Amino acid sequence: MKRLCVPFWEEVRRLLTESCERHEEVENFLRDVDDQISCKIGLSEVNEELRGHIEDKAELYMEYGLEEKEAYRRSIRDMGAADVVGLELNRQHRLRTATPLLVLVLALCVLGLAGEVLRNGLEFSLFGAIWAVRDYFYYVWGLLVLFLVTRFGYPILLKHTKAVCVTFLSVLLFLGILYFFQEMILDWAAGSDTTDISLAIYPEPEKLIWHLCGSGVYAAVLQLAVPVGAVILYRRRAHFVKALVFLFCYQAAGIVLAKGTFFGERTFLPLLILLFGCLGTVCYLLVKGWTNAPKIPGTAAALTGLFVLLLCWAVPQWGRVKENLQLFLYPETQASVTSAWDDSYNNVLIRELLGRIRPFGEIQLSEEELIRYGTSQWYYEDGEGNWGGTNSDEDEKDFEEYVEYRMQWLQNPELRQILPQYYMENYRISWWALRYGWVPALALTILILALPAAALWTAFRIRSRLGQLTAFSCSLVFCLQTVFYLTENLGFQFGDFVNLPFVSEGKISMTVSAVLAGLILSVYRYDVVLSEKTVISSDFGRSADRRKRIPV
Amino acid sequence: MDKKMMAASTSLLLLKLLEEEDMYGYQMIRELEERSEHVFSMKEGTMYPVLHALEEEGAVESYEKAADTGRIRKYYHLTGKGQRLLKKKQDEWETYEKAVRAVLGGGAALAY
Repeated sequence: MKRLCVPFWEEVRRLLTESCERHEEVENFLRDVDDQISCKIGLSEVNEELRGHIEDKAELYMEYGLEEKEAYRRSIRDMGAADVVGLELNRQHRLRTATPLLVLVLALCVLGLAGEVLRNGLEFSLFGAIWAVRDYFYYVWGLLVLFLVTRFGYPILLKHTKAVCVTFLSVLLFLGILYFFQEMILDWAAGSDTTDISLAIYPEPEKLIWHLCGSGVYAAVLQLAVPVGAVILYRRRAHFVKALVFLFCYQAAGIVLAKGTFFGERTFLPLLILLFGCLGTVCYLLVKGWTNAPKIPGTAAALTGLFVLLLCWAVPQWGRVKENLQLFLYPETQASVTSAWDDSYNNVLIRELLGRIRPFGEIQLSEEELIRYGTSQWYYEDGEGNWGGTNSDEDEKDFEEYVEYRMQWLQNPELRQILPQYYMENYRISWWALRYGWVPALALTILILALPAAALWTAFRIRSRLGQLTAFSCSLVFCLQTVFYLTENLGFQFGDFVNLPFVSEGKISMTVSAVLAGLILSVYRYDVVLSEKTVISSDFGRSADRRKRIPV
Repeated sequence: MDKKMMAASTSLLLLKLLEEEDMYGYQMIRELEERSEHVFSMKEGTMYPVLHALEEEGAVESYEKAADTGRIRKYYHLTGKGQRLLKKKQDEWETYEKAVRAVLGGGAALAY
């Protein structure tokens, strides 16, 4: 028995040794290839492909009668020199930078910062510098967010897709609870029976709740909802109908959230960005053929869904929606008599002044015209100084008081004094047209339009489907924001103002824009080296050089 | 065959193979060898950088599929962009081939 066992175990040992050697030889080849590739992220997928090739070829040799060890040796030899293969792969396997998009983002940040500084002035002293850093810190914050999302965004999204989506949906749910029960929660947090929350002076936790219930957070969440919706849609694409129904429910949640806020028309544009952003994403998925649904019925279903959602949004508040449509088309019917600061009047004024701009230089207005524009008399009075508004005596009296109030600021009238309060932020293009001429304003418009164009260009160059759809949805948000912003600047405003990415309106806007742009940059950066199926945890950020070469 | 000539036409050959069906790397090598009666024999590892470049360019897409043996293989699929690229490369190749033939045959140069 003992005699019989010895040759058997020796044979087993020989086979195991050979198997190990063969394995080591393949691994050494792959390691030599890896050594030539500078980007160590996602190398496992490259290795897997080369290993599969070597094994297939070795099997062929074995079919021809070669021994396993020799078959593998020849198979590796046929692959060519490992360092040559590695060097060639190194040209392809690399991180990329979407330079045009990155440059545009930085240029728009500089533009936004310069606009802020020009408007507020800059004090050249230590305290001035400290105040400037404090006031404009959100630009630094935005760039930090941009860097972090670019660096970690796509790998995290790939590795934790479900967790990211669930977290976002939880945030939506949390906000929903907060919106609908904010008064109750605030009372509870304040420990009082205060019901008039607008008059309360809140300590810190209450300030935070109040801040979370603000229109800025609402707009931010809805903008981020577009790429998250794209990810959910993509993950569920095999069951298109279910995915679409889920997406409609998801968008309906945005509509329900809007009901819970105080902000009325401030929710209009963020909501429209969500609805049209999701529609565009669904259509893109269908056009690309990345789902099992046929294109035309799928698009029809998406459009029907949008129509139903728009009805659900508009019908319960038809009065307000109609008022805003009038503001958009015929602002003169809505222009307030008692306050020339309102948006309707601003639209009327912009349309009036834009008709008089020059190619270069400031719009030409006499002192008398400046005063009439500055006091709104040009609009509410006829040329003889008679009241031209409604017949209400109360309105006329209010207006006279307003003119008197305004005149104290118009001793030496300037263009800046006659323009609406947010001119430098929300009407930056109009301001440039009036202040510097339509040619510089056109140049600015082109620069502003270049952001969504560069974002789309970057998205279309991404090969991964999930990455491309995510980047496309982010680009759509930029496109919609930019279109709404441009129409506002031509005196066509619907609802409240929309922020211009990286240029206007503070920390929340900057953070969201940085996340969206960062996601596009991140997907583009890792697109070549990370695919949807790559197991990131095994090699992300880890150098293959740390592994030791196995001697054969 | 001269390596430089082979390298210049590798992407054309790979695109042409993928026009017919989706294939994985080793399968493409086998097909190339068989169809060319072993004239097109390349260092096999050098095909992957070409494939990856085509993928980055958007001419091909990849997906994974398990073989009968259980081995996961990376298949390549020709995209619409790839079909346009193939057409362009084919036209270029035909022009080149005509020109070479014209010169070797001693005929008049092609009129453009």
